[in-house]
Amino acid sequence: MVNQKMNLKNARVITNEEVVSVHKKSCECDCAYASENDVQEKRIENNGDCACVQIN
Amino acid sequence: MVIALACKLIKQAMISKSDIPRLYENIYTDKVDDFLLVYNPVSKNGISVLNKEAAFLFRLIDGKRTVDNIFCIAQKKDPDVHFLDIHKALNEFLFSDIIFFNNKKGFILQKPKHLGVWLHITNQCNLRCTYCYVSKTSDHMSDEVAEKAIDKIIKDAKTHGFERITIKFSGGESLLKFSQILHLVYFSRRLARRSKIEIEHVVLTNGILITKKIAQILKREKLRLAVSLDGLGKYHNRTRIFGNGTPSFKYVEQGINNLVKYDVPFSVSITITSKNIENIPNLTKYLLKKDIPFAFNFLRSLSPTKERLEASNAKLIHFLKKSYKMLYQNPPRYNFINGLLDRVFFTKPHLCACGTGMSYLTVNYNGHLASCQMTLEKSIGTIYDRDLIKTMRNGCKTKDITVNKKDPCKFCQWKYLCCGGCPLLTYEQKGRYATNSPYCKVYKTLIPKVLRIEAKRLIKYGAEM
Repeated sequence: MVNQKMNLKNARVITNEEVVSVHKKSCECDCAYASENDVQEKRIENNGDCACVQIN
Repeated sequence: MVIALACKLIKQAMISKSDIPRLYENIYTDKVDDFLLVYNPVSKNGISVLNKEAAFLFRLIDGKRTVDNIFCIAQKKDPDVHFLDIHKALNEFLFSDIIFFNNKKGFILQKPKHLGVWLHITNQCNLRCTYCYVSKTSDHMSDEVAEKAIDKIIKDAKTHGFERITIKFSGGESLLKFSQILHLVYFSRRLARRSKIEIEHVVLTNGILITKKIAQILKREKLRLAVSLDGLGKYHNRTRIFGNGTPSFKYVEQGINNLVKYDVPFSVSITITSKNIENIPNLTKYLLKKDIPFAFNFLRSLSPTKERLEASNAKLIHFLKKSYKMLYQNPPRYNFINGLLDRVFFTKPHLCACGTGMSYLTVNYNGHLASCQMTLEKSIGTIYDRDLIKTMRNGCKTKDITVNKKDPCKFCQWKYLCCGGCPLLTYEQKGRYATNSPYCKVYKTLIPKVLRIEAKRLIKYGAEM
């Protein structure tokens, strides 16, 4: 295992930002998919693909 | 792809070969499939998931090795790797807040910019839920009081630097006053526009009165809802009944179907009690199937005279684990991590469990102010006070009891997530504020499980790129 070769160029970190990007790419909506500043998240427009509402 | 690349291009720090990357204290890691979950509880960036190549590099960080040392080890593993590849990976770690170089990001308590206002527009309700903390009467908030409250709140919030206000219409049952809600939405939007402050509205409802017509209006007016649903069929009906004892589930379900049909943004608020705890996994399945966002809340009963309906810690852990298993296997796309565990916020390190006294205000139907919706009867002032934000700050007993003053919380790695839980509940059950929540064991057991669900979500949807 220790000597198993790895392609370190492929090192990658996935965060919510990526998920938002993927979502925006496919959805094209103006949705605040993951609000950066608050736990309240809102959906401004729905385009079928985003149900990003989190109300507490 | 373009957006993500742009973000990454902007985020480039100068890293030299002699720099030493370090890990944050209390950094939490766990293996999820072939990925490594990494979470820094003092960062607002949420969790990061590292693929196996990134995880290999991350594990080389020990606070002693320089960037060059790491590059040399990496070269042994992959002779084709360039220094720039290592630089890029470390940059990603840095901007995900999972490592630091010379300057550790401290816990920064930002002055709140977002004010939450609970506008209690009616005391009347069509239900008589057994755990409700509101004493039902036929009193309503008059338009005069409501307008005065909104006008004053917007002005005072602006003066104190708030940039955004969320008005939550509550009751009783807020939809009994639907025409007033619409009037106040228009009224407050107009004032907010004039004051250049962002405003949004949420209707808190039991869902019974959501007809097709109301759903269409809600959609048109871009209003959001939180609908209370505590279980399926009899489990909901055990606590949520009409005044004559008739069950309410089928009406709530119809209301929810109307919201879905007209594409109204809403979430389901689930209050977990001893009466519905065993049905929570099935309710989770039901909501997942319908793709309806939801949030779990634990009952916080402050009335010593009422029947105790809190679910035991053991049952909460047992049944929530079952729900989490479903979510882990099939996480929805939307970000729902902050709704999975009552009063636990994973993406906003904070010092107090809620915004009471700092960014949160309740207005009773008669214009009296309270620190929390659960203490509506304990007036801290009125909407006619000179400065409502000062009234809010001065009227709260618990705002200075931060988690760092609570024993044993101050030593806990999760302290900035739950902050010791609801202070009122803690006081009610333990007789003092400066200690841990009665739900502490639940939080400690389930926080790692919720992190794993979030990791799965990121893997499922973020790895598409």
